[in-house]
Amino acid sequence: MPLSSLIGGTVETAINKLLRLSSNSDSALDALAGHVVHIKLNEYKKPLFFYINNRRVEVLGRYEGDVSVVLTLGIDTLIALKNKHNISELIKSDQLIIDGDTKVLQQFADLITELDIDWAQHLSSYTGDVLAHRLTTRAKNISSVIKEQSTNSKKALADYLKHEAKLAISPLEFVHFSDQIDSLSQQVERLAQQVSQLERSQ
Amino acid sequence: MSSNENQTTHFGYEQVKLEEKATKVAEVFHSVAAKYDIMNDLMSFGVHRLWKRFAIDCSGVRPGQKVLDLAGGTGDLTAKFSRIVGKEGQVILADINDSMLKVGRDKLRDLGVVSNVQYVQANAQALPFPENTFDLITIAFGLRNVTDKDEALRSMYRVLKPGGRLLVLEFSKPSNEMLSKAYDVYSFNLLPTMGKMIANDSESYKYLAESIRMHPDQETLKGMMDTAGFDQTQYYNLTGGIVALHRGYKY
Repeated sequence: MPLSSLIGGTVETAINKLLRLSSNSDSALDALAGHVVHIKLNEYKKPLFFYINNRRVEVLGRYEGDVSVVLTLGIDTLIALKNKHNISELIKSDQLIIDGDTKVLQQFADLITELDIDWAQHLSSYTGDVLAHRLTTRAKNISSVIKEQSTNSKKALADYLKHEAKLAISPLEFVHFSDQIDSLSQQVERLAQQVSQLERSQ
Repeated sequence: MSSNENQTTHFGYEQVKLEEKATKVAEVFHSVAAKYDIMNDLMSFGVHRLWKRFAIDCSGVRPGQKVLDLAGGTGDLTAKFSRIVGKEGQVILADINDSMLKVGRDKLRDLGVVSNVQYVQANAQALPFPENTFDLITIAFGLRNVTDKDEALRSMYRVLKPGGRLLVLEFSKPSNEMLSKAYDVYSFNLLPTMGKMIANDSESYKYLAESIRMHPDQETLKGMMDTAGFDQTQYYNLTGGIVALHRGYKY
């Protein structure tokens, strides 16, 4: 019980902190005022209710009033929601189940995904403009270096698995292997037919 | 509950005259009001926020409802309820201690919680409200300090609407022997020292530790709620029973 309270509390604090820092969320919050979004995550058995009011989001573990929309989805789908064009596809493939007002869902997704936070601006009130600019530029550089590194290391790992450890295979090998399986399955088929013919002739 | 034909009651481990307990408790809270929030965070390692959050989840509160936050102190629960019940709803923060009420009012104003909250200085044993007024009554870490708990529970039952519920969040009896030992060492040795260092008041925190031990355990409190008239009473142990949340309905 306190664990779910801890999760709810952490999510609530994080969302509200981000919303306060973001410059464009007030109108979205006003549009959602009074609405409750119920999220059921496949990975986490406890429900989460997002109650929006007074330009704040309250996160509750239980709620007995009216809910505007219920979402059932996995954490990966939650991240995929970031791209709005995905929504209909996710619904078709049953990764996202929506019950209720889709307009509220749309507004809620907008609220969460369209945060516009000027980190340099907020940082400058603590550090001064020059340092804030340097720090945010540095942070951007570091994040792009990390991204590049992670792509590189993924590639290196793939190469290692394919050519040195021979644990993984190249696409061409895979095609060849598939061909072999096909011919094998044809042979099995033929053999089966022969067996059934023999059985009948007996 | 006390010796000498009910003329005395417990104040922590001391016996005091019945009419003195309220004054003594008031002294404690006048003394700690200013540092109340920071001490709560320190003493419980911030976990009191989770206990309160759990209570809110169990409250079933909805927009438009009327809530009484008894012994609401510095308004943690009131702030949340005020946001949930919205413009049509109402929250009354009641505390017997005006120092606590003042601290609560200032804090809620700073948080921007104003329009639907009222502040009332009230004694839980004689609540100054008509019958069947509230959808929800909460008393968090307050019942322990009330002189006549049975009378207080009856008074809450009276002002609760039929269908309404009462939540009592209070220190209770740890269910595990080991935890209980560690908890004793913590509350009788460390707690008063922390109280001395931060609020310069070890006596109040000694009282806190003692009053927790004198408070009825889970089953006893459940029985008291049944006697007062509540239905479907049940309790949840939190953090191994250090705290328990009791819930009862009025039908």
